[in-house]
Amino acid sequence: MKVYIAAMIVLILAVPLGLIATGSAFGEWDPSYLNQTLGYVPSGLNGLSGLWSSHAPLPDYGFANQGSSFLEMTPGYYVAAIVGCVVIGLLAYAGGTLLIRKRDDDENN
Amino acid sequence: MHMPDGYLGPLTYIPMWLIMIPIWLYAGYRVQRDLRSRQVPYLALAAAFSFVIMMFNVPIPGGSSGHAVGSALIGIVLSPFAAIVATSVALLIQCLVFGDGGVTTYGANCFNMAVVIPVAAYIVYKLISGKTGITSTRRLIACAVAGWFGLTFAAACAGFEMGIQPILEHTSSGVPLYMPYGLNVTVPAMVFGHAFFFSIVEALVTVLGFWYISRNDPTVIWDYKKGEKNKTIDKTIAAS
Repeated sequence: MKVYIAAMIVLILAVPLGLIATGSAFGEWDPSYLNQTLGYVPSGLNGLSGLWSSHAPLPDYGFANQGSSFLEMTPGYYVAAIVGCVVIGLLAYAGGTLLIRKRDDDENN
Repeated sequence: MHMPDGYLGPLTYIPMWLIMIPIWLYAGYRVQRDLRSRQVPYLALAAAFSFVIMMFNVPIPGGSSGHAVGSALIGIVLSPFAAIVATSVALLIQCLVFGDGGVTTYGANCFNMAVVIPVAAYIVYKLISGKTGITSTRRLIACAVAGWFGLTFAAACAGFEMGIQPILEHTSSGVPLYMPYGLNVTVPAMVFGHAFFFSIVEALVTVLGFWYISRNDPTVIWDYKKGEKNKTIDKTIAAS
């Protein structure tokens, strides 16, 4: 388990590497990008866009209104990595505990 | 592959949410049936691991970016059902806390990343590994191919879901209401981007993870006892 935790720490420390890629993923564009590229924003898309994401506490893995340079985005990215790992880890642990009852010494293993 | 709200119309996003419900229930049932309490911390770690892996965006020629998901490794080590649970948790928090992936599209995103990847990967892994020992080279190759295929196939699914939007939901004059690009754009874009770049990362992650686990912690692998003994150890015992 210690090795896995160490690996996770290394991964978390390395997350800013993920900020180097600045382009959007395919199909994840902001409506303004579609407007620029196509000259319009599909109306259904416009209506649903930002439905929840406009309320997300750490939108796009950073603080709202942080800058867009690598240095400005790194602190928020670290916070996002840590918050994400902790919340997700705890939730999955809780889920696992609720679901999994078989003990290791059970005969039918 | 985290489709935001607005890229899929209700004719797609509602059915995708609906099919996930029995899938989640069945995955939960299988996790309860197949996993042991010792694996609970691993499940938690797996979910966090998948989340972190997804933070490593990879830039590709053309300006786009993407990332591996890590759920192929989880599917192979803890079972596809555990991967469905773990990855769905990661995707849920990504959506709610970070706004990555929409709420209407959460069902579809889970289907593509939490279900297709680990299930496809596990099937490929089993097909290629056969009955070889847990530390065999063939298994490592199986992991690489499985990781690569799982992510690529999931990307094709996402491409398909997006690409049918213009035909499925448009105004009376034919203007798309949701994802404006059709299959001829979405499927090649998703498949090539993943097949040549992000799926390679997934393959590497899957191999490296499995390499370590199979040699240092094999009893955590969910189907380890079900037949594939460590042949190299057996041969050593037989020879001595």
